[in-house]
Amino acid sequence: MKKGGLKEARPQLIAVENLSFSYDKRVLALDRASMSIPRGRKVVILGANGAGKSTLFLHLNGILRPKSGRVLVEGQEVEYSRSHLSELRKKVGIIFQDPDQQLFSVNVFQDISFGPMNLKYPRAEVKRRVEQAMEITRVADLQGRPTHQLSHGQKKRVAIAGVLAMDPEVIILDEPTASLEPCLVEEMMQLFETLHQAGKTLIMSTHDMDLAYGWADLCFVLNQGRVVAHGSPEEIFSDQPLLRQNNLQQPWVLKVREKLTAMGLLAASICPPRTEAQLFAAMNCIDSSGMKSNLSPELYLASNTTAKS
Amino acid sequence: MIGIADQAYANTWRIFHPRDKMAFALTTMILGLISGVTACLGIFAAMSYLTVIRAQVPGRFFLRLYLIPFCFLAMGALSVALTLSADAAAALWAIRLGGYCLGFTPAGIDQAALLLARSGAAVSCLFFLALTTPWEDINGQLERWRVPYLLIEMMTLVYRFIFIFWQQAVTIHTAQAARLGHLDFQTSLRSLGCLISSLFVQTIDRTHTMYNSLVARGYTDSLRVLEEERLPTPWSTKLGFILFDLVLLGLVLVKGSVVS
Repeated sequence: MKKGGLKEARPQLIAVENLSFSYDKRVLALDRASMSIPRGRKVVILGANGAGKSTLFLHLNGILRPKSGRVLVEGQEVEYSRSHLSELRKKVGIIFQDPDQQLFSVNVFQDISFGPMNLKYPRAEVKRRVEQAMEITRVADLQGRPTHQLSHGQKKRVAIAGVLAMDPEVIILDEPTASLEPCLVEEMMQLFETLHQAGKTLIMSTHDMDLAYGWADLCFVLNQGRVVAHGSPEEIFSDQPLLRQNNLQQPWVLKVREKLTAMGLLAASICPPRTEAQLFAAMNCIDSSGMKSNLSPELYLASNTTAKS
Repeated sequence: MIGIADQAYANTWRIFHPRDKMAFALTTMILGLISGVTACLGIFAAMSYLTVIRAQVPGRFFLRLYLIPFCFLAMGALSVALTLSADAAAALWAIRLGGYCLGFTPAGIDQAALLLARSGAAVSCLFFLALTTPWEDINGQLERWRVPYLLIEMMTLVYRFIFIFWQQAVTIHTAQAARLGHLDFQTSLRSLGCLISSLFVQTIDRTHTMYNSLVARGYTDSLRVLEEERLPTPWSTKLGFILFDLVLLGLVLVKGSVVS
């Protein structure tokens, strides 16, 4: 029905307007921050530690109240009455960085059931949701184990299941890949891809530039509580001064691509690769005969010895 | 402590509904506290059988657990057995201390034996329950028995935090040891002080973050969770529970050993 209304554009899923907040009245943790996040996007929030990422997240879920400014979800200003908050927390879920912060129960099943129980679903429905969440995050086999016996990665998956069981539209991930092994990071990213395919809006903070660049389709840069830039990852990560000012770094795929372009091996016109696979695909076009003449074994050895001496 | 929790998850009786296990353990414990020495030995034997043979908790682990309460019990029993009296005639063995003599009398020894037997029996009931029933099962049952919710909620959080802080304490201790923080007695004491104060600060910090994360999942006033389904205790076992407690009760009534 709503599709027919052409005049009225669908409101942004989340809009933050001139949001300010401070914990101790001296330093502003958020300083007139504004951003809007459309539905179904993969959003990355970049910024140094203490830039205000976690504080921002706690506002989106109604845990913190803005000192000034406002938060809108689906065009509605967030209200802090009990019933409104319950509605908001059903829509917006947060997965915290340290799973030990989130797991309060010794029992995996019970911990995951906490959210849906708070939403006052009937028992059978809670059970169904818990089982579904355990299936998506593949923790069903951990069900009989106490949480303190689980590894960090396993705890993380249980914590995610605890939020998924509430079936939120927006999932906020506070540094979800921090202190995970590389293969677990990959597994985690696949899980997020599944959630993205299912139509969820994902908002992630991370210090992993390569990951952010390859994954996101919208980036925000926070610095000292302010949103200093936003745009596509291509825009953000090709802006060298911006990266320098905010202590961010260029992803390695872009560095390699720039080097190859400078060497004349890649055409400057090809669109910048986002991932390793895209870069390698672009590199396949490199004329291998040219490579050979440039890098003969003798030359390679000679360059090596000169580098050493 | 952590070993107990691990056993509670690994034993074969975990799958049973906590109601019967808890009712049996509590009734037997109460009966044990008013029974004589023989009945108490019977309780100890029954609980060991259930825990080690039926629930398959390793026997060595079960016995090793007794070391801690036994140390306290031995000291308590010793002080009960020792009697201070004016005449040395009744004592089996005594030393003179001025006008008095300190020694063992048959009555004192009997009393000490009874104390030891009753406490041992009570501890075995507790161990049986703790080793065969995971914490959240006990919690759920307490809730059904209408124990005040606030109490249960606090126990849930305390129980979980024991493990978090234990890990935290181990990490801090290792970090201190790596910088020679536990080289000798003096540095150990100082390091321990630092460890405790640092844990204290972290507690406050963690309660804040834990609270936030609970609120994020819709926490308002209570930690409501859905319990996993448990199997009912087999009828034969239930019958065994009831018969055993009836025999204990009969013994108490016949011998009237409440007073002795």
